[in-house]
Amino acid sequence: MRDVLEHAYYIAKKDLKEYYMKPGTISWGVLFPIAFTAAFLFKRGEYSVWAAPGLIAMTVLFSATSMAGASIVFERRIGSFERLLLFPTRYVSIALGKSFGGFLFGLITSLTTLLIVYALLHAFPLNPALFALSLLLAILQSSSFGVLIAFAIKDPSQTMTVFNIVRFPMIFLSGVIIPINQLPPPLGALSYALPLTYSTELIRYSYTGEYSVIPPAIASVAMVVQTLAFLIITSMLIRKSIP
Amino acid sequence: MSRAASTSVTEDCICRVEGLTKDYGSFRAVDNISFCVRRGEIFGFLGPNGAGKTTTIRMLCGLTKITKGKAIIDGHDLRKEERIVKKLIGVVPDISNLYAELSCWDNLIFCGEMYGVPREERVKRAEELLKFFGLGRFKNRKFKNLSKGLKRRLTIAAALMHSPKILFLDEPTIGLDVLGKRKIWEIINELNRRGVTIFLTTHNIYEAFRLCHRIAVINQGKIVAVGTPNELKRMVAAQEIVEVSFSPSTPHTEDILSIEGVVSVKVVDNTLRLVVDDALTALDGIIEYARHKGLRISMLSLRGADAEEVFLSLVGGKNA
Repeated sequence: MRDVLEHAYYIAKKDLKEYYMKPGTISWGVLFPIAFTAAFLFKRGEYSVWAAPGLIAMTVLFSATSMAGASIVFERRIGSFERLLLFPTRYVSIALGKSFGGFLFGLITSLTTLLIVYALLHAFPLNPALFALSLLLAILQSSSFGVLIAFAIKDPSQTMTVFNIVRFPMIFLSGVIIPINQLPPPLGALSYALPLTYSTELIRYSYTGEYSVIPPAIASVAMVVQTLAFLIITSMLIRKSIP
Repeated sequence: MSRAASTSVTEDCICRVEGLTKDYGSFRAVDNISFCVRRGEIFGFLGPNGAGKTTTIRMLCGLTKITKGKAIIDGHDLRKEERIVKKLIGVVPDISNLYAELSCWDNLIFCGEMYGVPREERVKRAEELLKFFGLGRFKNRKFKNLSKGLKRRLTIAAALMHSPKILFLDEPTIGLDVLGKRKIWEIINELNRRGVTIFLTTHNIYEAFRLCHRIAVINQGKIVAVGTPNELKRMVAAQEIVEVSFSPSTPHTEDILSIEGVVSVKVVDNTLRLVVDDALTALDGIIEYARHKGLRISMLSLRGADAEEVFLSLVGGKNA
C-alpha cells in the first residue's frame, strides 16, 4: 500500500511540474469556471447564496478533470505515457497519481472561486468542517472521473471535446443553476447518474444547510463509492490498453 | 552458432526466451522464437522493418502481452513476476519520450523515484550519469530544449538510474546524424565494459556487426540465424560476390542466372553483381558465356560477402 501511495505521489508531483501551465489546463481548468462563476453571480443582479455552492462544485469538476485530462492527453500523444508502464508500479498507482495531480489543481482553483464568492456575497459556509470535507470528496471524485474519461477515449486528440460534451450538460442537469426538484421528471432522474449532482448537493448543504433531493450522508457515501469505482475502472482500462 | 535458434540451459543466460509468440488477431508478428542473451554481452536483434524486433522487445519489457512462450530474466518469469522483472531491466524505447517540461535533472530524479532508488543514492546516481553522458552543463535545461542526440543520451541515462542488470535498447541510433550515432556507440561500448548486459534491436547492419558480440537475425517474426558477426559471415561464406562488366553490351540477367554456380544477379551501373555459391565453376561459366556471345570482359573481381550481403542472404533477399 505504501509503495502505491509513494508512486502516486511521485507521478502527481511530476504532472504538476509538467502540465499546470498547459493552455488547456489554464483555459478550461481555471479561467472558464472562475469567469463563469463571477459572470453568473453578477448577472443575477442580486447575489445568490443559493447558486454559489453549485458554482464551486462546477469549478472543482472543470479544474480537476482538465488537469487530469491534459496530462493524459499529452502523454498518450507523445508516447511518454508508456514510460509509466515501464516502471515497477501497480496500475492503480498510475490512476491514483494522475488523480492526485488533478486534486491539487482542483483544490487551488476551488479555493480561488470560494474567495470570489466570498468577496461578492460575503457569505461563508454554514458548516466549515463539513464544507472542507465535501470539497475534499468533490475534488477526489472529479479528478478520478477526469482520469477515467481521459483513458476511456481512444483518440487522445478528441479528449477535450469529449470532456466538454460530458461536462457542459452537467451544469444544467446537476442542480448547479436549476434545483434538481424543479427539473422535468426524466431529466431529474438523469441527474442521479451524474457525479456533479452529489458534489453540488453536499457542498450546498454544508454552505446553506439545505439540499434538493439527496441527503448529505447518501451524497458523501456515493462520492466515496464513485471515486473508488472510477479508480478501479481506470486501472482495468490501463491493463486492457496493453496490446 | 546456429541457423535454427535454440537455447541451452547450461549457458549463463540473463535473458532466456523460449517459444515466444505474439499474435495480433490472425496476424502472427513474432513466431515461436527462442534465444539466450548471455550475461555481460551485447546481443543484437537485427532485422528489416516489420520483422518483429520491436514487438519482441516490447514483450520482454511488459509493454505488450505475450501470446505464447516464456521469457526468463535473471531467473524470474516475466509473465508471473512482471514487477520484479521491471526492477531488473532498463528500457530505452525507439523514441526519446521523457517529459518535455522537466529538466534533465528532474527527469532523472523522477525515474529514480519510480524505481525506488533511495533519495541519497538517486541524487548521486543522477550526478554520475549526467557526467558520464556529457550532460553536466545541461542539468537544468528542459528536455524539450535539448538536441535530438542529447535527448537520446538522456533517455538512455534515465533507463540506467536504477542500475539495471540488462539494458534493452530499441533502435538506439535511429534518426541521429553520424556524430550522434558514433557517440551512442561509444556509450554502449563503455556501458558494456562497465558490466551492463545490452540487448539492442536495429535494422542497421553496420551497427549490429560493429557493436554486438552476438546477433540474432529476425525476419517475418522468425529467427533465421544466431551467432557472432564472424559466425554469421561464415554461414554464408560458401557464397561469394563476383562483380563483372562486359563490353560492348551488358547481357540480360536471365542469361547470367542460367550459368552454373550463380545464385543471384543485380545490375549496378552496368556492372553485374553476382552472388555465387561455387566461384570457380561460375567464373568458368562467365568466361565461356562471354566467348560464346562475343563479349569482352572489361572488369572482373571476386570477394567475400560483406555484412549487408550476409544479412540479405540470411533474410532471403533475392539480390546481393
